[in-house]
Amino acid sequence: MPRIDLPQGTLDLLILRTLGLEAQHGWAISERIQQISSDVLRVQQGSLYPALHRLERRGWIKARWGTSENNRRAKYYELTKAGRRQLEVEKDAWDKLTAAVAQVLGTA
Amino acid sequence: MLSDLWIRVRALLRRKTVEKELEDELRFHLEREVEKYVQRGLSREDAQRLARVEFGGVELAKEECRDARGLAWLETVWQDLRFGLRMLGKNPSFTALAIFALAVGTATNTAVFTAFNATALRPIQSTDPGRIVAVYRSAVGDVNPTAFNYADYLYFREHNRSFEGLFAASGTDVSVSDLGGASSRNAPAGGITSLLGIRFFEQLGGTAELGRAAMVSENYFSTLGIAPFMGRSFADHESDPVAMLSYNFWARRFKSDASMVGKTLKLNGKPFTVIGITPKDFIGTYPNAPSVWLPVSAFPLIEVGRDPLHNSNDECCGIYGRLKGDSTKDQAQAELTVLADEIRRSYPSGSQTSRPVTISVESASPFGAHPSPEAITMLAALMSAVGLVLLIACANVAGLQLARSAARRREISLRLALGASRGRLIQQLLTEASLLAVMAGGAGLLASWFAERFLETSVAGALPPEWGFLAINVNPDLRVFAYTLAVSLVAGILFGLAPALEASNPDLASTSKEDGSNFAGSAKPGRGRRLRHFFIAAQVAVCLVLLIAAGLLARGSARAVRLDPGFETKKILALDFEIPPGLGYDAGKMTATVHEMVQRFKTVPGVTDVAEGRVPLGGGLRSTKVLLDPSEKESNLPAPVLYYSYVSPNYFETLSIPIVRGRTFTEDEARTSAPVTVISEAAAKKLWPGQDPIGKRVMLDARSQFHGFQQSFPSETFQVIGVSKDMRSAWLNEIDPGFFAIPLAPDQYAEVMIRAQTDPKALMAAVGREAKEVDPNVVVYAETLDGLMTMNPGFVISRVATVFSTVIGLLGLVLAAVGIYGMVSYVVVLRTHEVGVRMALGAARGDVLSLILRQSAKPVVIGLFVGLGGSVVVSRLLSSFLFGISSLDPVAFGSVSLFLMCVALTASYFPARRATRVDPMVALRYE
Repeated sequence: MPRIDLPQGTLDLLILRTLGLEAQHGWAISERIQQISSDVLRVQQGSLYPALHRLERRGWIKARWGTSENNRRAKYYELTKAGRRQLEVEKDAWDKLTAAVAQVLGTA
Repeated sequence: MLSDLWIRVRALLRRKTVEKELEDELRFHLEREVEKYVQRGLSREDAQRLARVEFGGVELAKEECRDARGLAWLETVWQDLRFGLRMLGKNPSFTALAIFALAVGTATNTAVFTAFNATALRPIQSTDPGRIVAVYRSAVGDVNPTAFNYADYLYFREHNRSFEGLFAASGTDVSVSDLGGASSRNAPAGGITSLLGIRFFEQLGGTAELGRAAMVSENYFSTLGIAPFMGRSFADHESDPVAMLSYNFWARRFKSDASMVGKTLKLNGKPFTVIGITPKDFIGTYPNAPSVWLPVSAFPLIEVGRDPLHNSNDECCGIYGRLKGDSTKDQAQAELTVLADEIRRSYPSGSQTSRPVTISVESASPFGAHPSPEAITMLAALMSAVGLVLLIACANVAGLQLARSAARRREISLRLALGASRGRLIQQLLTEASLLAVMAGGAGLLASWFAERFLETSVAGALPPEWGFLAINVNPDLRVFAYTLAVSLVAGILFGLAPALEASNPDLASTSKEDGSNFAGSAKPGRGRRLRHFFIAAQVAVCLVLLIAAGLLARGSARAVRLDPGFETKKILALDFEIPPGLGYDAGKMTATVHEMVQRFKTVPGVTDVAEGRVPLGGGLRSTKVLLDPSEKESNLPAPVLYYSYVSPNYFETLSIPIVRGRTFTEDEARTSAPVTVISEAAAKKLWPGQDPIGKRVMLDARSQFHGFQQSFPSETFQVIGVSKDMRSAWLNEIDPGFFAIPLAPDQYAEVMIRAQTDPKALMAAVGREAKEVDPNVVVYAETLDGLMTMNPGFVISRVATVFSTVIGLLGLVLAAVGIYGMVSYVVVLRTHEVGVRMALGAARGDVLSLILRQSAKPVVIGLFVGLGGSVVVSRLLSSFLFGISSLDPVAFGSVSLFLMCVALTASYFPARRATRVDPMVALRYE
């Protein structure tokens, strides 16, 4: 099954959504997105980390160092309050966008 | 956002830690990825390879992470600053020119702001000035505040709960005598007044000196928390007459003599003991430093019949106070409003003091709490003027910058090609511009500080003490620094933005070669170029108008001092008497005093004669309607208006004014106030054209006096007995339009003129001694008529205007020169290729130079012609200040135009010369 590259701007939404469940480190986030999307979505690993750092700077996620499942030091990210609000906002916007696109495709 | 700032700062300060964390994070990811593939059965080697391929460039990811963290932002600013400094250092002539032009702009802005800051924004000097407030009272329905009487003040002081202390302040003029030693009230020559060539009246040595007295309640200094510089300040209920000297008066008048404390000083003739000296430049609640500080209770001593402590009709004082730590202005205002209402109910109804009033409590400033609309208008006008100067400076430097960025086009297109974003380039060019602007701001701040220091000290030194001692602090404070920084940054963006946008435009950058190869005549006359030319022409025109006006005025005022005014100027000393109102002299006493002095002056060796009358050019003009026939009196026909003056019989002889027909008055006629008059030639021509005026009669109507004293004339009709030669006694710039003299009666006194055998200045000390012996409390000023000519309003205006238009014109010329330099540099850069081709084809250096100069001279020449036209109009308006110099004076017009043309040529020559240094091979190889 061929994989789809992520459309611009959706990576942030996926990261926020993934972190909405629990705190995760970067590698787990990329694995998680692939798993949940049944391997359809492919996260460009090189662009995952700049996105994480950008979200951290905006105050939507925060980072702390913890111990990973294989007992190593890893950087964990979790949602902040502002991040939760932002997740709602972006989800809402995404739903509206997809609904509108679907409608156009359905009628045209 | 806080997290944003924190992350950025941490990125910058803890750079190593942050880098290591980034490294660890990415390594962890790769290791996990490798483990994943190993678990799927790949060899470790294959797994590592696959993981790297999947991840993409690690270094690129790191770079992007740094960008995302905002590390880049601060780091690039730092980089840009260093790079900018290097670029500025590489091109010192550009840097110097730009800084100079921008410094002119920031200096003028800073100077105006500093003046504003030092006056309108100045708090009262005291400990914790924020709690010092002024109390204002105005009648209901009236906006102008009125002063309080002393009883009000005492009532407020005793019944309020809002203030730690409440104090009262008033003021008056006093004559200070028994000072001992020679007078030194006037500052030594030099400074602004000698620069302007004008002067102030000089105090006659040995006589009393007029000074300003600040009258304050005894708790004034203790409430403000100001300790005396020396001695002590007032204690409650001073029983003996005591005074404090201001530092400024003490330093100037007593040469900072420490033994003054404890000595006795006569103020309006009454002895006061000096108990202390106030700190230097201390002005308290006054706009400037007085000579002496006295308790309000001293009023009855220095002003005959005035006793504000016991007279509720004497609204003597302003009230100020220090708020308690826990009370606010609003609370204090509410409380004082209640107290004021109690006070007014205690007065009989219907009286002035019982009217309802509004009380307001406001932050106090020595220059009043309400900025008047006039002050605001003036500030706005000044601010827009200096703002315009800044804009012009910015526009000219933008022209320079444009030329420079055109020269740097290859560097810029290279960087664009290497992938620098346009924003990044703009950021870098703007950083450079701001750097330049901040340096210029520093220079401007220094320049304005020095200029204002010079102005302040020289004006302060020249002002007579009775005007108070100027003590304006023009040293820059935090507010001034902040303002200058803000102005500089705005300027940086103003002049940096347009060139940065243009230079970083990828289209332009890539077509720069074509631009250069377009050598059919000239570069395309684009809109930008035409705008630049227009701008240069406008500046040249304005500078020319200003400098021609300055040239005309300078020549006019130089002519004025050589003018023959029609009377003797070199040998006459004019005296002016100033009687402090506090002495309570009536007209009879004053007349007797002056006449006694005149008698004594006549005995001083070296004096040939002493006359009384109006001092020519000395102001005090009187004029009246003159009728030739009694029947005209009731009619409304326009009658001639002539100047007149009461003079002693020897007036004409003393001043060497020739009597051309008839005779002057006799002593007898003066004694009896005979109805006779001597008229000037111009008056004779006006009243009786073509006839002999001797024996004719004129009628004077006391009701029709202008700038007179509304006193009746000794007689209604006067007979003409003589005609005097015309002179310039009213205004230096014109012959008196008509003048007549009538005899001074024995019970009148006028101004006194002493004729010296040789040098009138040498008589001053002896004359002063005589005056002092007659009355030590009368203040006498003296000035030679020669000196008076330089105090004539026409002369002063033309001198001051000369200096101002010269300064502004020269500053403008500097800016225009920078603009021309920038414009020519730009042209040269654009045409480098063309010049190369021309030279390859055999053009000589001289040809190239004249080609560039010819082209750049066009806007300058247009500006010169427009400016000449403007000057013709402006100089017409100046004609009354030119003292006979033609308003189209060829010397001023010609020399200034030539000067301007030379400056413009020099400004074009240096960049143009660069074009001739083009190596044809290099220019062509660029193809």
